[in-house]
Amino acid sequence: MSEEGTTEPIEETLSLDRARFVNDACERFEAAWEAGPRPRIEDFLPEGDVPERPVLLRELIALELELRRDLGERPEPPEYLGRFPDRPGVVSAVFCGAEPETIAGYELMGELGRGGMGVVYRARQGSLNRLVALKVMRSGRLATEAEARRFRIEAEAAAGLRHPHIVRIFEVGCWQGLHYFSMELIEGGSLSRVLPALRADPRAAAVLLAKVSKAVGHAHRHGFVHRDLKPGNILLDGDPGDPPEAREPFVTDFGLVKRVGPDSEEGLTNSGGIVGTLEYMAPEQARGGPIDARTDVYGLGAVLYAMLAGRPPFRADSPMETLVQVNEREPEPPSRANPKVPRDLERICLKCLEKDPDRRYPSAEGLAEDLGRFLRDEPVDARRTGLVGRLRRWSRREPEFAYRLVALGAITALTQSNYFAHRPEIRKLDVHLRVTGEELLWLVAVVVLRLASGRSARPERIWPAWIAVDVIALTLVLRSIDAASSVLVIGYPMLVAASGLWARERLVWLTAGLAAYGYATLWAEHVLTRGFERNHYLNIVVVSLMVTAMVVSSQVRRLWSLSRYYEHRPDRD
Amino acid sequence: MASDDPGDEGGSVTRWIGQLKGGDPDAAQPLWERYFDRLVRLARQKLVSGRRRGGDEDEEDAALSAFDSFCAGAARGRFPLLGDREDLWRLLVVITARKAGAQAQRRRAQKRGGDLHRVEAAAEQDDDGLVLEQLAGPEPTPEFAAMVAEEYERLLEALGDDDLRRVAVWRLEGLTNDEIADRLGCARRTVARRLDLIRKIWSSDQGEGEVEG
Repeated sequence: MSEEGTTEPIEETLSLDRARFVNDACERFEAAWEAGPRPRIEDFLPEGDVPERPVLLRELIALELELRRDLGERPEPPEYLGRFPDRPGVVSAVFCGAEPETIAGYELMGELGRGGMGVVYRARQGSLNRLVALKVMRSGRLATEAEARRFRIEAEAAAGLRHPHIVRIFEVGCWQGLHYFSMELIEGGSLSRVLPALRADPRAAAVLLAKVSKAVGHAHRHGFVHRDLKPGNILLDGDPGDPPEAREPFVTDFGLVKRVGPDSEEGLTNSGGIVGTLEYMAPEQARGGPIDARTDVYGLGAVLYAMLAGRPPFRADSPMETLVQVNEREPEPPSRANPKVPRDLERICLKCLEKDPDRRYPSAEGLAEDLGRFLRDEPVDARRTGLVGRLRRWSRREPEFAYRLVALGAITALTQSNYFAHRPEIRKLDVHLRVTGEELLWLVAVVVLRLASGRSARPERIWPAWIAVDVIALTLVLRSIDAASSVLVIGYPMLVAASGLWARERLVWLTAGLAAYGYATLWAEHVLTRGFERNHYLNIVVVSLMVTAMVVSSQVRRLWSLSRYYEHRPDRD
Repeated sequence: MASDDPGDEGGSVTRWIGQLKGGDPDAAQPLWERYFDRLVRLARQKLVSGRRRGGDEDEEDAALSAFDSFCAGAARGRFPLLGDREDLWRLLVVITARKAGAQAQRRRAQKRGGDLHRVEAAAEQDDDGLVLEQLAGPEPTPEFAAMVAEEYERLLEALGDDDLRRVAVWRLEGLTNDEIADRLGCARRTVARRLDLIRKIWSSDQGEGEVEG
């Protein structure tokens, strides 16, 4: 299972032969130790300045330290610094890296987990002989004195939170430069482990979330905002085999993510949850906006969503796209992923997930009460949203379709009004009918594409088809009204600019290419049938299309380089 | 607790990778476990049927031991952690997946007339997630499981040292470093060091395997 006490890997640059040599030397050293008079590390080191020497030295010192400690000795760094004066770095690295067996009177009994902030151990508190979870912050996490002080103040304040569904903090302290705190040990694992089982039982999800919401509400009354609510931060007691509704939930990490977060200077933000849990993050938090209790209401809704649908409300292939979805998109109703979800529970969930905090429940208690009404089969507060609200949600859920529908409606209406604005004697009915027909055809094609993406598991495969339909339709309309030399040609660069919203360079260039091709066809037809004419410049249009595509695609590239930077920051796990 | 019915969320590797990238390895873990359980059981069957052609019975027992312990461990909920890049099982699956991918590419390349650059490109690919996603497939196939069983034997053989082999097998069985140290009566540091060496040997062996084909 998760493994404790691995050494840092024998250096990457060391060839396999040298690594084997290091291992053999250590094996001989240990055998000699077992056999009789203590061997001297110095006798096992190779002559000269070969690359394996520091590695072997490190391994031998670490081995000897362990063997001596097992015999009850307490070796100290100065002795080794005296023996190996040329390698003080290696000596101190070994002494720092040795896995401690006790920290501040806690006997470590194995690792429970690791995160960006630190390591959590199962531990026994010697003085009280009770089992606790001990979280030890990574050294360097609290770089400055001020940060360390703030962490302690915050953790001590959180230790004052008493609620049956909040993991209690017992002690906060610092031991040999390591910041730690001990908490109640909840051994049943986190909520994320039971998500698959909960999908089949929405009522159990509501029961669990009602308890969690009350606990969060309690913390809000005491001035704490959690800001990182997610299934991984909700622990369950009991045995993993028990039915989920029979197990009690416990919210953990209260108040601890908060101050070690955005207002510290550098590096801490990512452990504060910006990267790790984007999928459960409220839009105002993802944007770095003001945070309050309603941010946690969103988090609770996201947890409920995950319990109902089996996945977080937003998930894309990259953090950037997830961020875009969190900010702009509407979550798919959970009942689409899981038909067992009751309507009322779905409404409660989606009300929590509103983008605008004012539309959510004003408090976690409000949410808990509404969940209570749902569980008692009373009418819930989260009402069926009105027509405007539903339109808003729909346009956020499928913007490709919604905006095209609006734009096409406007274009068609404009065509009609232009026609009737003309004096009857200059109206051309045949042209008008052809244009209107093409616009309606465009509409039909868009509807067909919408249906196809609804069925498809990977709607992005259909994006090129959206582009092709738009360019072809625009070209046909321009041809019908003989507008290839008119200002309506700006429709092409507009399509190129809009294609940038998908954030795919290929698609931008595809749009530009198709548009250039479409316009070239119009131009060629015109030249062939009527000869060259003023105000009909193929070269200008093509060049402006290419320039637009270049600008848009370089913006897209920038976005991706930012996104990759965040994804691959070494600090992430 | 993972029910037998995986539901329509299925054991899709793509999904684990998404969840892994999303910073929620905990959520992906149950899916990974289901995949793993099936894979190891299939691989064990291959190992058993392969052995019937004769051979040393004791050796047979030793080689099957890791698979049997894994199955028993799986029943008790002891699985390798998906997020644990150091895990030997994970390494074994990734090496096998790469090899399968390289073979498939080589076959395609030969059809086209030997475009070996592509094979190398695959070998250099070091995003384990991607390799798993592309090559291991959404469900463990019997063919892939057979390759895992083969690789398992070949890699144990490649260690060339009984001490290392014992550590590898016990580690695959899910013993902790401390438990292995107790069994061997050696230092914990020694177990950790041998494990590092095992990973190093396996990682570099994989490179050779691809060049020679």
